[in-house]
Amino acid sequence: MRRAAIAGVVSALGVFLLLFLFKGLPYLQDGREAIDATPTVLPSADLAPVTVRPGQQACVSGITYGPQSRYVLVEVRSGGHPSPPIVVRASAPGYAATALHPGGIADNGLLIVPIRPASHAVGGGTLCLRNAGRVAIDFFGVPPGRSSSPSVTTVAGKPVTADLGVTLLASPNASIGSRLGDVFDHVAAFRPVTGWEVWILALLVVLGVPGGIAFALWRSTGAAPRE
Amino acid sequence: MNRIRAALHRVPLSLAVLLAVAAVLSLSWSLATAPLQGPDETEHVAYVAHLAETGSIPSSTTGNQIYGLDEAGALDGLGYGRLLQNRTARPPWSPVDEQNFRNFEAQLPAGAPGAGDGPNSVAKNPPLYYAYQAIGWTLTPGGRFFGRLFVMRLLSGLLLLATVVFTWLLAGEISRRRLPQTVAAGVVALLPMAGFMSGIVNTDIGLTAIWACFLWLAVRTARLGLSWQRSALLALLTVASVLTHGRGLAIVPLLPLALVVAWARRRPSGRTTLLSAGVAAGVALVGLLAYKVVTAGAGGGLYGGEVNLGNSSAFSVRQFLSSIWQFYLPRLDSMQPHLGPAIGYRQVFIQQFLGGVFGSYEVYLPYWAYDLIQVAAMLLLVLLYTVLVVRFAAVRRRWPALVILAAAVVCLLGFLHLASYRALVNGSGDPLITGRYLLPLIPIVGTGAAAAFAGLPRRMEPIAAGVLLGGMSFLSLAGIAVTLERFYA
Repeated sequence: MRRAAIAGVVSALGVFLLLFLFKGLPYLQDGREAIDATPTVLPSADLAPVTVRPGQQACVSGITYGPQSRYVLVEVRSGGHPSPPIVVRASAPGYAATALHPGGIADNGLLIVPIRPASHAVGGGTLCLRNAGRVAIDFFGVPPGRSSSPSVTTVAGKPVTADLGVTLLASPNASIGSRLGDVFDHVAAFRPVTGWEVWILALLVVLGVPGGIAFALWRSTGAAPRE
Repeated sequence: MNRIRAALHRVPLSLAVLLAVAAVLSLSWSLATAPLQGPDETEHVAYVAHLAETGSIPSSTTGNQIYGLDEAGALDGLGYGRLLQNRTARPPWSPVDEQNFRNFEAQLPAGAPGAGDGPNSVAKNPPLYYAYQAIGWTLTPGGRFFGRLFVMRLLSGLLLLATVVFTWLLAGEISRRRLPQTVAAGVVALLPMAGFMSGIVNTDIGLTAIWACFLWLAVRTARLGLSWQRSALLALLTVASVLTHGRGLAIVPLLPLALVVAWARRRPSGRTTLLSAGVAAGVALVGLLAYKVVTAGAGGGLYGGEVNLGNSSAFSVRQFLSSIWQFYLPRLDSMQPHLGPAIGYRQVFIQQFLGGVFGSYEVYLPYWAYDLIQVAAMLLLVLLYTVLVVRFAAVRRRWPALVILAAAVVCLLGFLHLASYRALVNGSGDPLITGRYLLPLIPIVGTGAAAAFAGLPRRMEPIAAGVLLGGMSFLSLAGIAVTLERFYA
């Protein structure tokens, strides 16, 4: 019976370990965009383009910048030709950053521009994108409705109905494994837990769950039948 | 106190460990899923808030606003509303946003959290689960919205723990060995969809716990014999199921069946039989009256559209049977194409139930996982069938349990298929059938897996159990990981 119990424990831990090594670890190591904030969203269904003509700028208000806000991401439609140069200006009380994207993004491509991050979280900010080229450009936006935010989008100083979809990235390509600390800090926001407590819970899931299952199998395989 | 301590000492260590595993997973799911992002969670929370704050049920058809002002602020101001089903969006996590929301809550007028009087699409549900959650809402220290949501999700987690316990007890009624109990309860503790649903605010986890208790008590009553106390408890659980959700009605045929099976097994005296039946009928009647009284004035008919029996003239037996056939098997040439979207066994049983689809249906496991689950489920079914045939003599001795559990499967699936067909035939585009609706069957899934493994040679049983539970441990971890990535990475 002892050998049977060992076989049960080994098979449970072995299957878990094999799946973790061959599926879990590659997942943790895969690179992907590391999102810092989505003050407005990119459209998941309906698209409302925000058109900016040469020399004009589109601005989005109500943005919070933080130490992890290192890149600005917007999606562009350039109507078949490469996108014009775009000047990005991020500002908030006590914070300002400017960057230039040289353009040349294909239609439906991502415009990702590095910006200097704020030293600490600061709200009430604005993000402006100025068309520094000679052709108009459309940015992806969302129409009014469930997806819209309290932010106001303006073009050439005038409010428009659509929300320009803005994402702030910590990195355009980072593995989840390298960002677990940030992820757990995000989880703790708006909850009565800290990032450290989420770390402890994560360790319990990765080690305690398979370990607990193996222990339960061990105990129950060797147990005598009840009367 | 000493009695409680003694009772705790009697809890088998394997069960205690499984409960710890389920608690860790449930808490992890509740943290991995961003606030208000479970299926219909916004409406369920609004129901609880209104019930807790005003003592009345919101309306499903009329009213001034769906949500309390704090929840509405979280949805519209903080962005939890535009987060729903949009994989490119993330919830707020900046300290600035947290402080802004605290300031917003501080300036809300008295009674603002309970202002969501309707129209609330889940207000057609009866109030039992919401009354349970209202305790958490009321007792949360500080009385802030996100704190309350955290506590309510913990209370859902307790219902998963109850389901694990009742599954353990159910398996214990069928087998005297510990390993089948461990397998059955382990399957429930590790099923990703059960963990996910126990980490949000949703009636389905309440229904699951009630069904688990009912199934255990029904099988136990069949083994020990009828008594008026057990009959009353079974009837009470039936009422609880009916008072939790419209789908809880599927338990109603099981009550007389369980009583008849128990009677047939032991043939008690006429007095005991009459007393048991009378008590069960009395409790059921009181429950029905309670439902009528509690829901009077809430608006909408009996369970509203959730139990959509619609226009009876549209019902066609042939079309109904054809729809069930096509749900599980390829369409035959003689059949009309089925109504509604192209969903069937693979989507509902494999992806949405045994595997899991999380968030508000936008978070998936990788497809290789669903393929693996499908193969494993087929192997388990074949193994279970083989065991039932090869060990027929042993199976026959346990016929009462088999009848009750099989009837539960038939009742719930039949009810879901009927409601789905009637919804579609009456013009709804929503087939009203999804994987989480099958959660009340998880004690049977766990017990079925345990029974299948119990039929293997003794040396093989722990290995098979280890492979299944080890694989499910990883699946749970994978589900939590993809949910974390969707919301917080």
